Amino acid sequence: MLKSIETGAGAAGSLRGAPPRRRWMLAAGGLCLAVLMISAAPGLAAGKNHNTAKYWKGKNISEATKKLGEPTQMTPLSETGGTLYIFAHPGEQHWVFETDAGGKIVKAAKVE
Amino acid sequence: MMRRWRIQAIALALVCAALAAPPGSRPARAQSGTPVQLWVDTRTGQVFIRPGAHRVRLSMPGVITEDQLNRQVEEKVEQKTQALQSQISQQQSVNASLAQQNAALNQQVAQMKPAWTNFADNFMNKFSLGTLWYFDYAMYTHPSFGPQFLTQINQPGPGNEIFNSFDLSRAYLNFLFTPTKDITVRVTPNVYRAIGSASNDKVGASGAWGTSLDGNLGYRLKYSYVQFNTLFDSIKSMKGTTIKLGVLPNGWVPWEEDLYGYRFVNLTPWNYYSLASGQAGIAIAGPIKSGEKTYVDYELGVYNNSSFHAFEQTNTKETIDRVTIYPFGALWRFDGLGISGLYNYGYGNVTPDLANIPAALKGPQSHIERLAALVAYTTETWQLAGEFDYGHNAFNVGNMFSGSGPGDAFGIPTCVTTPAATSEAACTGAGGTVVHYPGWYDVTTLSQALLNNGRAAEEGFAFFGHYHVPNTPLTVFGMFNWWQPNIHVDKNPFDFQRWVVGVAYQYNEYLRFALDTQNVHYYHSQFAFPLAEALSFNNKAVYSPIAKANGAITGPVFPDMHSIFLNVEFSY
Repeated sequence: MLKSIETGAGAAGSLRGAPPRRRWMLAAGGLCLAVLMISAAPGLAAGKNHNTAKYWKGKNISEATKKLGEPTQMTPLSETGGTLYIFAHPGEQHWVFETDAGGKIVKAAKVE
Repeated sequence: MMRRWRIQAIALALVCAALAAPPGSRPARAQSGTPVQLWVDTRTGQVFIRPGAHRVRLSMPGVITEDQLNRQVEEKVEQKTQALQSQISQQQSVNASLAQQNAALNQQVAQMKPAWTNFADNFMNKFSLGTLWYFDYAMYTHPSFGPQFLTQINQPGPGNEIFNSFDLSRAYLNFLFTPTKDITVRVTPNVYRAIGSASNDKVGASGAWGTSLDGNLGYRLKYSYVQFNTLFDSIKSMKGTTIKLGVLPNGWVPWEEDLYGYRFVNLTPWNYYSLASGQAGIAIAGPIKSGEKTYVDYELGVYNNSSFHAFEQTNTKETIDRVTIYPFGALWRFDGLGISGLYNYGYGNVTPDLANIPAALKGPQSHIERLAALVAYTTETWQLAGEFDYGHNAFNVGNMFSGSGPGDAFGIPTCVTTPAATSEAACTGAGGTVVHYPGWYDVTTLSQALLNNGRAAEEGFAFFGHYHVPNTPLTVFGMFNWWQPNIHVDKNPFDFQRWVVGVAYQYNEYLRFALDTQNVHYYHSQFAFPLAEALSFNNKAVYSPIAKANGAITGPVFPDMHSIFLNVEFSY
C-alpha cells in the first residue's frame, strides 16, 4: 500500500512537527539574533547617532551649526590654531567642540 | 452534370456582364456598400435576385465581398503593425540597454582620476588653512600713558581727548601640515605695525626719497614649529602629549587667552604687563587623563630670553612652565574647577659682556621672574576666575609705556630749556641748560629708577569672567586688574587698576562682535614724590633743578585713561 510522504517531510521540517513551546523558543531566539545583528552594525552604534561624541569627530563645524544652531560662544585657540565652540542653548543638549585650523572637529564633549 | 455545367455557364456570364458593365455603374455600387447577391434555384438552375424557396446563395469563386476585403486588409495591416511594434519594442530594449551601458561607462570615466588628482586629494586632507582676524574702532575719551590695550595699538598721550582710530590688531594665517599622524608642522604669520621714523634716502646729487616705514602694517612670523603628536600614545593616561620645537606659543599666555576667551578685546594679565605669547624653544605639553576626563594639563618649556620678535643675545635661557589641576576632572578644555600655576624664570636679553658691567639700572640685565596662581571655574555658560601675580624685574619702563609714554622715555625731550652755563643739570642730561619747565623729564627719570633698578618686585591681582545671557547671542564679560609695579615703593605713583567691561555678540560660528569700555585708573591722588626716596632707588639719577629745588618730583601720577571699543573677531 502506498503511503503519503507528506507527514514524514513535515516531521523533517523545523516547525511543523514541533510542539508549540519549542516553536516559541526558536522564534524568540531568532528575534534576539536579529536584534543583536542590527545593534552591532557600526553605522547604528555610533556613526549615525547625532547624540554621541564619536559621531561629531571628523565633521566640519558647519555641520554642527546646521544641527545645533549657532554657537553660544566661540573662542579661537591660540595654542592650536583651532577654535573652541560651545553650544549651550537652554532646554537643549549642550555640546563643546574643539576644531583644528581647518574647522574639522577634533574633540567633542556632550555636557550632561 | 448538365445542370452543374449550366450553373457554371450562367455564373460566368454574370461575371462577364459585371465586368463589362459601364465604369460609371461600379462606383455607384461601391458607394452603396452592398454587393450584388444572387440566388439560384437548385431544382431549375434559375438565377434570382431575391432569396426564395429552394434557392441558395450563388457563390462565385474569385469574387469577394467588401467586408471580406476590408477584413483581409485589416488583418494584413494589423500583422504589419504588430511586426513593426515588435521591431520598435526590440529597438527600444536595445536602446535602453545601450543607454544603461553608456551610463555605466560614463560613471567609470567619471571615477577615473589621474594620479595627480589622488595625490592632491591626499595632500589637501593633510593640510589645513585657517585665519584669525581682529579689527576694532577705538575712541579714547581720555587718552593717557600706559601699556598697550592690544598689540599693534597705540594712542597719543594726555590732552588728546576723543582721539579715535580703526585698528587692525591681528591677521593670523594658520598653516598646518600633517604629513603623518605623528607630526604636525605649523606656520603662523601675523600682522605688525612698523613704528620708527627711518631716515630718508638721498638719491642722486640733489634728490631724495622719503621713508615709507613708519606706520606700515607688515607681516612677520608669529609661530613656526614642528610638533610630535604620538610619542606618548602608548601610555594611555598620557595620550595626546606633544613635544614642540620651533617658535612656539608658550605655556601660559596663549593658554590663558584661550581660557579667558576675549583676547580680541583685551590682553590677559601677564601679557598686558610684559610676557610675550611666543618664544623660540622646545616644550612638552599634554594631559594626564583617567577615562574620558583630564585631571592634569601641563606645558613645560625652555625658550630664548628674547621674544619671537627679537634677537636672542644671552648665554642663558628661560623656562616657562604651567600646570593645571582639575580636581574633579575636565570633560572638555577648561571644564569645571581648574587650579593653575605659572613659573617663569629668565634673564634680560643682553649679551654676557654687557650683563656683567656694573650699572645703576640693572633692570635690563637682571634676572626676570614671574609667578601666577589662578583659580577658575568654567561651565559652558559662565566663568569666574581669580589670579594672583608676582614678579621680579618683570615690568620695566618699556612695558609701562608700550601703548603710549612720555617722549623722554623714548629719548625725545619734553622739557623746555634755554642754553646757559649756570645750570647744574638739565632735563636733557647735558650740562649748561636752564630748565623752565621739566615736562615729563623728572617723571620719566623716576619711572626708570623705580622700575628698572634690578630689584623691583611686582604684585597684582586679577579677576575675569563672563556670563552668557540665555536665549540670546549675547555674553557679558569683564576683567579687572590691580597692578603694583614695585611693591618696595611706599607710594608708587605708577600703581594702577585696569578694568574692562563689555558685551559680546556671537553672530555665527565665524564672527563675533564686542562693545566694551577699557580703562586705566592711576588710583593714587596726585602728590609730590620725595626726591630722597627717588634717589634711594637710583642714586645716579639726574633730576631737574626744579625737582632739586623742591626736594620732590611734582605731578608724578598720570591722568586716567578711558576708552570705548567696538571689536570684531573673525575666525575660520
